[in-house]
Amino acid sequence: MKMAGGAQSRRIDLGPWAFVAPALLWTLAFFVVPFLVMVVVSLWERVGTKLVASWTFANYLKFFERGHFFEAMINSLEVTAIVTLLSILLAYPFAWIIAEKVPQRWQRIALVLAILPFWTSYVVRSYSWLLVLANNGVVNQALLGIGLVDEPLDLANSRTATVIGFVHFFVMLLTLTIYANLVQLSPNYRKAAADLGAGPFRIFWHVILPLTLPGIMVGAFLTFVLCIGDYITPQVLGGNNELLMPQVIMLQIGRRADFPTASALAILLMIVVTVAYLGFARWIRLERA
Amino acid sequence: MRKTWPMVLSILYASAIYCFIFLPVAVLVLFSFQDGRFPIPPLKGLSLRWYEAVWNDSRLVEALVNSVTVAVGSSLVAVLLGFLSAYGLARFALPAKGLQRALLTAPLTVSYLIIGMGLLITFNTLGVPKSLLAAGIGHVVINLPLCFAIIYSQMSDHQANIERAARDLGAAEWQVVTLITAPMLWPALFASFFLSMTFSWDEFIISFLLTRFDVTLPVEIWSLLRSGLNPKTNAVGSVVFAISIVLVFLLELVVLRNRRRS
Amino acid sequence: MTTLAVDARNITHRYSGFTALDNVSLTVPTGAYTVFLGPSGSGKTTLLSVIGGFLVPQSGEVLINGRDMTEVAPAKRPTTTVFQDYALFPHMTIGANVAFGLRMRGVGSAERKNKAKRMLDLVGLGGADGKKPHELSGGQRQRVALARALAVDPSVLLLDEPLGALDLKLRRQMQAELKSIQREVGTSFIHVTHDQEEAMAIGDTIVVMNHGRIEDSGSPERIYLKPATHFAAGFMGQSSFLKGKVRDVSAGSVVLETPCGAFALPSGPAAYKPGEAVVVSVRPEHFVTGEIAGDGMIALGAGRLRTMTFAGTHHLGELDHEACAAFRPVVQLPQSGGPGIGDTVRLWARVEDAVVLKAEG
Repeated sequence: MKMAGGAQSRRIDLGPWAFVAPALLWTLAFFVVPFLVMVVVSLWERVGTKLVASWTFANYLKFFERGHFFEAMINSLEVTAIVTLLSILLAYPFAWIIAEKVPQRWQRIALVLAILPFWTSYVVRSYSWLLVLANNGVVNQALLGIGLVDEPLDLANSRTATVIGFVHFFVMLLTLTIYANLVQLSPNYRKAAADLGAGPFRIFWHVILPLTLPGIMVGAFLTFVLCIGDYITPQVLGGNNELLMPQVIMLQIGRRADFPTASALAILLMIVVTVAYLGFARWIRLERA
Repeated sequence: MRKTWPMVLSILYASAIYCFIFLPVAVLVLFSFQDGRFPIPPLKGLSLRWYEAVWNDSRLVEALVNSVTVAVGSSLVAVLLGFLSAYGLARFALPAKGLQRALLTAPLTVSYLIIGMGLLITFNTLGVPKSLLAAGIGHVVINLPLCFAIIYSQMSDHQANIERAARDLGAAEWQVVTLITAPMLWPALFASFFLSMTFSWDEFIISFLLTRFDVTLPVEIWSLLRSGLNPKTNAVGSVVFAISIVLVFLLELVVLRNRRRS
Repeated sequence: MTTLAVDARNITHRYSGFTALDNVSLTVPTGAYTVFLGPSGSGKTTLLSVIGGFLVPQSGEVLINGRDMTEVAPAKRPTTTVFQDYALFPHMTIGANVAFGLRMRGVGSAERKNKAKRMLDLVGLGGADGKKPHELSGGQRQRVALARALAVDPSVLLLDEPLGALDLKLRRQMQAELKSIQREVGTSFIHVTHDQEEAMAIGDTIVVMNHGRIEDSGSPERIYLKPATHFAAGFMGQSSFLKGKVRDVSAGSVVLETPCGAFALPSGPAAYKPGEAVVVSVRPEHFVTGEIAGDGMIALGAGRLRTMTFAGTHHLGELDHEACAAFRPVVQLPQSGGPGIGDTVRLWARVEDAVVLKAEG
């Protein structure tokens, strides 16, 4: 039996609310309310430069009627899927090497190094890839130099550039989550499996991989959410040839100040993320253990 | 030796990934020293002229000061609110605790673009002008859940007993919070402050949507991008990177020192 | 009239689906060392929380030094608590920890330091005031917690399983020190434990608790020799219980019907009715073995020695009783030269050593 909380009184105490209220009110005022405003505005119409409260689903219908909105969503989903898959495939062996092959005392440094560029801002990181992938950038010059190509490749301003920019970021993120999962596995699992006669491949396939699946899934979900909502990377690296959802949303806000359409598109994007969350939910625990 | 091959493969693979990870940063920093007009090969010599250009660009310097102000201010507010709410929820019997926790951490699952848009539309409807303050408010929204989650996870039952002991010895509630709880949680407070700083410092889309004349550094760099590839952008990008690294390094130092002690 | 340090009246407290304190009343005399003894879940820690002010009971009141303190905050009570996990402030020096209560009372810095030094000397930690809690051993932390709680001169000191985290040897040593510190400062100590040896070693008064009720309270000797209940007899030391029924009641004694025959025993304070189920409790060292019938002795039949455990100064033997399979006497036997396994042993006990108690469960 443990002693119960603070001095519990028979009276009702308002004191505790004083601690919680500021954060709750902040979140309500600047997160919940704006979101509700967005939902309301998504049902309005823009007539000329004014917003009219007309209560219509027209903005949502536009998404299905206008080909380029729908296309942007498909592009976003495609790019996000490719990025998530590629990042996991690249990051898993990397995390495994750091966790298994690097001596214990160097692991932390190896990991910190591996995620150092993670801390460059989005804008700067995308710009850096532009430098690397530009027509006369480092990659093309190198390829020309060793005679692998005769003409510079059109790397920038393409889906490839967007994917490379994203994968760069998410390989670092996933290395972190997968590594965290790998190091907390007891080495006895492997010993037990080996003791029972499993070879290295079967140990990995039947023991290590299933045990690290939660880490992979958490990382995959983070990748999905951050990737599908990012505006900078496709805008800087993809150019305007092929638009993704965040770019289309920003176009509505920036060029046309069409808040109702932008809100409707943003809410549709959120719905997609929510569906993804439900799919991943069984692996994700945001609560403290 | 039997184990040579896997080791060689591992080293090759890890090196390749490290190269991939560091390639853009290396190119960025290297060509920030370009003694020429374009940040692309060949490297024509090393010079600090582009850093000088950054230093002399009053808009960039102003934006840098703005960024620091917003980062420090919003992080202080986020840590304060996060700490108070974590303390309240961990230590007192309150109704609907699960719902309150869910509400406080909800912004973590929504993309910055949508948080920024919601605020933009709301402020626009209310007639609140775009400003650094508005961006700061947005940064508190994205960092508060992190601060809350980090600090809340560090509040143990053992600490609750320590607070009880202080109360038993005559400390008033505010004395318990300031003399016992906050100092005990110092590493968590520090970590959440610096993490918030880093996120606010690097944040683009919310600042882009919510500021106009006075902007933060990422927004100013964004407008520099319109002029195409330019060593000056490299130079300011390198500065931003360096500052982020210093923040991360400080964080790492505190976390490491704390881990060693316990 | 002596004042009471603590006077708890009709305290009841329920957690969801579980009664922690069931109409408990108790008094604690001033200046004594009182021990609450019971298994986990017996309500002893809840009772301590109620006295310390960490818990306001659902009904009943608590008087400390004659004043009603039921709803007064811990800080405003003349009590301080030594917590089981010590709850030292990890970021403060030992000196600052001990001086904390005085600081909260607005005592000046020089005076606080002085007092803290004296308290640390008292608990045998003089010179440690500059260290941090994590530099100390478990036993030393325990002493700091004690010094910190005593520094504000409480009139009642509450100790919640204070020795639970220490190893056996250190625990025995700290028991002696706690008792001598209590004698020196004269403060009333209330100490919660589940260890009956610890309770007997330090308590002036022991309060035996079970299922949220007080089973017995009194001096260790009294509780050991004349326990008030079946539970108290079994929890305070070892005892063998022979089941029986009351056949006849007369002034000050009862005649019992048992599988080992009928005999009369003094009835103690409790009242019995004919036909009531009872047990006869006999401590291992109170069994007399051999063929030595005599006045003032009751015959308890015979048993075959099944197991022997060597306990240094003696052996403890467990017997299979011939007449009653449910009766498993545990008997103290000589260190050497006594019966061996398989031998049949006749059992007796002196009338004043056997205790009749109401049967439980």
